[in-house]
Amino acid sequence: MHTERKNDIRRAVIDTASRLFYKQGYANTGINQIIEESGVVKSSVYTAFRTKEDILMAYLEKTGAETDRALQAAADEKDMPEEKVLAVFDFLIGLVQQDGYYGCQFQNIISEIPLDAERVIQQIQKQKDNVRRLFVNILEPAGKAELADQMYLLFDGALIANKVYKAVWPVVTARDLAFELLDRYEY
Amino acid sequence: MKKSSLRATILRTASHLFYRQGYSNTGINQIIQEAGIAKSTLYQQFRSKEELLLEYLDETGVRTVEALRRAADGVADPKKKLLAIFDHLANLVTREEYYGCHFLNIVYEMPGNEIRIRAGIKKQKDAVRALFVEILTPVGRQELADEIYTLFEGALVGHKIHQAVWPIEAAKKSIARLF
Repeated sequence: MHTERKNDIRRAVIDTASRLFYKQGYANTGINQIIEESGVVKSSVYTAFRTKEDILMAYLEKTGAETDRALQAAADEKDMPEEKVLAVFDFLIGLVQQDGYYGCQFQNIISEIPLDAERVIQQIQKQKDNVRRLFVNILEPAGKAELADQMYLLFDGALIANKVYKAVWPVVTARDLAFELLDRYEY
Repeated sequence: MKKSSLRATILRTASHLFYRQGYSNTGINQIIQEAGIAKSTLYQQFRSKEELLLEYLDETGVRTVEALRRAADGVADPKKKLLAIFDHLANLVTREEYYGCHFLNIVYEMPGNEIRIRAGIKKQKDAVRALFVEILTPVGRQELADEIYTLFEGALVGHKIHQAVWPIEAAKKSIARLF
C-alpha cells in the first residue's frame, strides 16, 4: 500500500513534468509549477525527487522507453530489413504531423542543459544509441549493418530540419535518401 | 567612437554572448557592460534585443555560408566539393570556441511563433541548400541537394549529442555512396 502510494506520486509528478518540459522547455519549467499542476504536496515531491534534474532524468527514461517501443513497433510491421527501415521513417512522417508535436524530446533537452550536466547528456546519448542499435539489428540480417549510423544520421537530421522549417519535406527527403542508400549498397 | 564601429562593437559583444551562453540567458545589461557602453547608446543603435539577434543571425549567416563556399572552392569535382564541406565541419567542431551550430541553437530556444527570428534562421539554411544545388547542378544531380542538407543537419546534431566526430564521418560515407 505504501509503495503503491509512492508510485502514484512519482507517476503524477513525472506525467505533469513530462507535459511541461516538452511543451514549454526544461529551463522554463519551475519545480513550483510542477508541484502546483501535479496536485502533489511539496514535501512528497521532494521525498520522491531531490532536484528538478532528478525529475528530468525520470522523464527522459520514460519517454526513451516509449520511443524505443514505438520505433520497434513500426519496424515490426514489415518483414524485409529495407522495408523495416523505411517503416521507421514513415512513422516519423506521421509523428511530426501530429498535433502537439514540438520536436524530438531528446534533441530539445540537449540544447537546453548546461554542458556539465553529464548524466543528462549520457541518458540522451543512451537513447540515441538505442535508435542506432535498432538500425543495426534491422540491417544485420541483410548484411547492411554498416549503413546503420547513416540511417541514424538521416533520422536525426530529418527531425531537426523539420523543426527549422516546420515542414514535412525534410523527413520525406530523409526517407528518399535512406531508400537510395539501402538500394545502392553492395558489400 | 565612430557610429559604425560602435554598432559593430555592440553587435560583436552580443553575438559572442548569444552564441556562448544562449539568447535567453543573455540580458541587455550584460551586453552593455561587456561592450563598455551606456544603455542609451545601445538603444540608439538597436531597438531591442531581438533586433540584435536578427542582425547576429544575418551576419553569422553570411559568414558561415562563405566559409562553406570557400571549403568547396578548393576542389573542382562536385563530389569532392561536398566532401570538402563536411571536412570543414569536422574541423569546425573540434575548435575550442565551437558551441554548436549558431542557427540550430537558436531554433531550440524559440518555443514557436517568433516569425522574424525563424525567418532569419531559414535564410541561412536556405543559403546552405542553395549552395548544394549550385554544386550539384553541373552534373545534373541537383535533386540530391536537400538530401545532402538533411545529412548536414544530421551531422551537426549528431555531433552535439554524441560529442564526437563520427556523425560527420557517417555523413561523408553516405555522400561517397551517392556518386
